Amino acid sequence: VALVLIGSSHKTAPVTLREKLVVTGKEVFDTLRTLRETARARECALLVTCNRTEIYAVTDDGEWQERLVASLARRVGLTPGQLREHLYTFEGLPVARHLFRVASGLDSLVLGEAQILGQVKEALQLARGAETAGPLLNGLFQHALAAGKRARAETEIGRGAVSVSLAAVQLARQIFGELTHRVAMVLGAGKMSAQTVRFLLDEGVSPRVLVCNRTPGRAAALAEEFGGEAVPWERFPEALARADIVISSTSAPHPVVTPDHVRAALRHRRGRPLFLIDIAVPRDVDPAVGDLDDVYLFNIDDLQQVVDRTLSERRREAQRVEAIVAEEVARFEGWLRTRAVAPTIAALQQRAEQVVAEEIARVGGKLAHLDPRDREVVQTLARAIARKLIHPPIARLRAAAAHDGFQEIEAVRRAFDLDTPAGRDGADTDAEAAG
Amino acid sequence: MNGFLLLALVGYLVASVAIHLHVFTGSERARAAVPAITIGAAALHAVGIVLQAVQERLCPFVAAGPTIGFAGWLLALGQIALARRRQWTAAGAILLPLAFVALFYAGVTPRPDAPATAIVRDPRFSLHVLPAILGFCFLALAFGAAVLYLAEQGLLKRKRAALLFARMPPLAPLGSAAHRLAVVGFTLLTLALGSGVLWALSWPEWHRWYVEPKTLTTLIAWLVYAVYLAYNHLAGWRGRRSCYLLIAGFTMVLVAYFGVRHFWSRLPGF
Repeated sequence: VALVLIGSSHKTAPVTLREKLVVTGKEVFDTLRTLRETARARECALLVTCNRTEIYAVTDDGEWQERLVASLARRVGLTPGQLREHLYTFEGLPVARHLFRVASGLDSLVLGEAQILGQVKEALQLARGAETAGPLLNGLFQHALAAGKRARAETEIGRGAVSVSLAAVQLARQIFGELTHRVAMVLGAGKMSAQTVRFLLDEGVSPRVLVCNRTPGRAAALAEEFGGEAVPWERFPEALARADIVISSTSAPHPVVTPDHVRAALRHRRGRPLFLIDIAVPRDVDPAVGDLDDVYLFNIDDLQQVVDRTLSERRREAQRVEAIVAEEVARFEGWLRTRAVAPTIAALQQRAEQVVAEEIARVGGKLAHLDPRDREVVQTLARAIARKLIHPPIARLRAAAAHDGFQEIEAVRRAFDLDTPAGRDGADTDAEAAG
Repeated sequence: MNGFLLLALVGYLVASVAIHLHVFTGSERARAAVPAITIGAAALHAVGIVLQAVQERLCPFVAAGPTIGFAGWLLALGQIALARRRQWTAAGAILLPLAFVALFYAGVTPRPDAPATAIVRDPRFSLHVLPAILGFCFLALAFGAAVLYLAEQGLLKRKRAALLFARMPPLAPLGSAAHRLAVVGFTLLTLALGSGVLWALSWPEWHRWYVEPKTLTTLIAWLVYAVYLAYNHLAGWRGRRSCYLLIAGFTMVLVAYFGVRHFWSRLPGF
């Protein structure tokens, strides 16, 4: 039995191909069942995000790869040969390593992005819903989620802002702490400033966003969009005293916010910080404004630098995450091995119960004079003795699993005669799933 | 210094190193270790203080060393309270080294041979010393917040560091915290000064205390804080300039307590 993976992501396939591989909504359940049949797999799961489609399966079919590639090729309208160039496949433990890296955000387009952990969780839930997830994929995905959570908790891979708008929001949070009741103001208009305001509103800034535009109509329209307040252009210097976060993106050829404007506003602000985000080119805010006390001025390049620095710090953190992934893969391997001894442990317990039942049945007649309570005591005693006797070998088995002690497992099986028909466990094993 | 205090000292040192490791390298393990180490060290410190007081049959506040050691313990408690919020753990970068220095100072200061002079046996002494020591702690916390504020403000102005921000408390709340701590510290300092003056008046040689450098430096420190608060309330100073005043005020407090003791004091044990 082998754990296998076939997939394609932004690293191997262009968007034109990736979009054809996306499976959504109700389609997922049917696709999962079809895939399981195609790969002749016992278990199957599908991880679909904007940038990747991956099929995880547990199969003992030697030709799973050919079958899946052919089926996928039909779906996207390519020959199997053409499609294969854009696919990657893994078998055994490398599957776990890949999924753990994915769950930790190491394989994402934006290093360390956080959504992927939820998507991995969703993939597991969908496979459970379609009843295509068995014990092995359940274990694999649970371990992946644990790896992803550790990566986020123990490293800074997911911290910081990775877009200019998010960087502005992060800076606002760093300057003001909680953003509730803080007032945002937009000077001019533009996609990026609108997006930044939306992020700020999500963070809880006062819904009374001040919107200031040279064209009163546009100011009113934008104010309506945010549920804010339009401010006449000539009155923006006064509004500066009320606003805490100012996003400026006018198309003016020269600075519109001067040190004099800000100095006048500061007099009314009683030391409250003022955060100016100048995303206009040419710049809207005179750079000298940034030298004033309690004023924090960031232009588009400054924000981009924050993003670049965050990404480079995340790249540094990625090394720590790789170490966590390695640890979690080792843990998963240990879990697989423990699973391998599970049938032996079950057989041993079954054998013990069988012996107890047989012996009690044998002496049943001789115990007839006892009242039911005493008979219960005798039975409990018999079971307790049996359990105590098999406890040390079970502990040995668990220990043996952790260090490849197959000889010890064999010894226990022979000692307790577990392979004769009476003691056969009959259950199949995933011992070789690891590789 | 007994074994408990020595272990607490080591604990504060380790916690200080750990918090700096977190702030400058982003190590999450180091951050996670700080609260546990600080709690352990503060617990050892508490046991150490009680044990020492019992052994020497001496209230910890009658000598300079143990008084400062006690202040260090209060700072560690402050850090424990702050570290419950992730971003505020970084305040430990200032508080934990202060706690370490305080306890170290307590350890190296020679202890008085005579248990106490008549002055410190007076019950009114506690009324003077308790607000003084608590005030010292609050002003130290305000100082720590002001230093962090300036550091962070500088980073923001120079647009430096991306993730370093995420490890520091947000700027405006830091400024408000510094202000609130200073208000409490100033009130306690005023109480200490007031009770001290009233108490000294009952002494035959009271005029000697007024010209004592320590009284004068404390008065200057009090004035600095008074100016700070006046500006805060009247002119709305909150940012950088008010932080400079807090740092100046605490420097004067340190001069009043340590500088004068070691260099100018004419009255022993004062």
